[in-house]
Amino acid sequence: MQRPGRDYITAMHRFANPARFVRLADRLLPWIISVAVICFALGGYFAIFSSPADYQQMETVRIMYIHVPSAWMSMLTYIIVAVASFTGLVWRHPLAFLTAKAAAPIGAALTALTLITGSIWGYPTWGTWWEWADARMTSVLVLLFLYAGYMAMWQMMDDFDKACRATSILALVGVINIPIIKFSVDWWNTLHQGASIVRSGGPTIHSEMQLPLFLMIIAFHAWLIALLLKRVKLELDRRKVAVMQQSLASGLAHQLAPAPEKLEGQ
Amino acid sequence: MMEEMFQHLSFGKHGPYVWAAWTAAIIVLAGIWAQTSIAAKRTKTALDQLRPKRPSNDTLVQSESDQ
Amino acid sequence: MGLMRVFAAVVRRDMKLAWSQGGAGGLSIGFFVIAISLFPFGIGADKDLLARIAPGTVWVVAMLAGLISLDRLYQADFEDGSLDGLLLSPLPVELLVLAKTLAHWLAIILPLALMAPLAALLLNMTADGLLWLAVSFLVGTPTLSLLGSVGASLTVAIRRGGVLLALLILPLYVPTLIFGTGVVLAAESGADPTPALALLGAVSLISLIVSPLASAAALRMAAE
Repeated sequence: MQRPGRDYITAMHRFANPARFVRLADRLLPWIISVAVICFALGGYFAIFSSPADYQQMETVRIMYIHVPSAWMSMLTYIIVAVASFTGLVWRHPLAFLTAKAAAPIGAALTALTLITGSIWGYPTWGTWWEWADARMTSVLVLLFLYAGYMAMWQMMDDFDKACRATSILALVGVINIPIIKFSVDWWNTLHQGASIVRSGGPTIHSEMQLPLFLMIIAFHAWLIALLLKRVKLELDRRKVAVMQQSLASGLAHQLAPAPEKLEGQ
Repeated sequence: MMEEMFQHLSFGKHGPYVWAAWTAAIIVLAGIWAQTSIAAKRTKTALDQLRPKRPSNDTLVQSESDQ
Repeated sequence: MGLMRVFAAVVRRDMKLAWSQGGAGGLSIGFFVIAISLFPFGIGADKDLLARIAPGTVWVVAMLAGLISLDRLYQADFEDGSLDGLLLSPLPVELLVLAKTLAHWLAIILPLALMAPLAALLLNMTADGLLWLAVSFLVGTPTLSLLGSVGASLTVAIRRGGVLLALLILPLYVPTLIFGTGVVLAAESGADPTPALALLGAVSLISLIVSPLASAAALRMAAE
């Protein structure tokens, strides 16, 4: 008859690899956080105090320094969720699934921030808080719904292994929204203008705006990586708690129904 | 000089929008970071409570000297 | 050829079940008609206003009516164990998905598509609009069943999975909704509806490929 502790130990063996991940993450985190803080500080400074040629009309453009990076990161995070899900389905490593699970709330927060800052920027610029006919706006809203569905699915499924795979399938089905967001400004001519940063002729935005934007993009990347590392560690710990609680419960069940040999020995 | 900076920081006519956007950014970015840290601490506490307890060194020494 | 017979058998069985006791066929049609008629009650009898919202309203209510029938798509078989039997049959799971989806579309969605012009008449849609509404439904509603199958297969084993099903599928329905109403709006304003129709067809074709793959994977996983 297995002792309850035995289940715990075999379960812990499955996390041996993640222990290496946690050590690596702990070593990297201080550096990444420093990069984030420095870039946010510098980027924020230049964003607020840089003075484009006639800044009276360009004040609201300072919102761009948040709106553009958060939009890019919200899409990048979804790609992380999708790639991690695919990796998990193919190589069956629990760490991949937990990475996807950890990334989703970050992506949802960034998408919400994109929509909020976009709406705040849109009102003085275009006269409207929201424009349903704008393809990019609506597909970013759909991205938020996709994140919500993904997170709801994790919440509602009890069996961990099935939850891993079901959420992964869902993430992969929704990935088609990403190219739709990216190319929607080229396909449909509504409020958002076409690409002005990553395009074949080089960026068309004012050179004085490139530096703060570049700094903010690096800052957001660093923030994303640091937070993702923290959240993966969190998900690993949560999983350990769940496994231990389960083995405790089955251990109790073993104690309440002792093996026949024990009874006879008494 | 302070007046100039104050003037600049009010960002002209659409100033409140700029402030609102940057405030929203700080709330979201710091907020989810904080939520993560709090959840991590809570989970670590739960983990510590669940770990099987090892006998401490004192009791081992005591039982040896009892023999 | 044996596969074709099994495929046809699954289609026929599901179509019969949809309209029998416990099937969702009548429920969906009933919901569709009642929900459409709520709009004039709620918004008032302003004919011009109703005509303006008609294309989008008919599409949205049809989607919601289809949603009602979707959580039983796999769950009924899952609960009584026949899903395991179907998965063990010689038919590849992807084809099984296509068979059940086809049955769903024929038995439940197509009647909705036939009722849609009548519902649109209730909302005072123009004659041009009615014709193109019917066309848009024929071209676009396969995604309702196909993408619906993806959500249904992912939530088959979840208790109260119906609400999660809606949350998962409705974002996926958005392109169909946009292009479907786009066809009708274009026709009513005298523009050419064929670009929107082409995009609508493209979405249907893409879901024809994505749905069997994703649904089959989800079903295999749920049956373990």
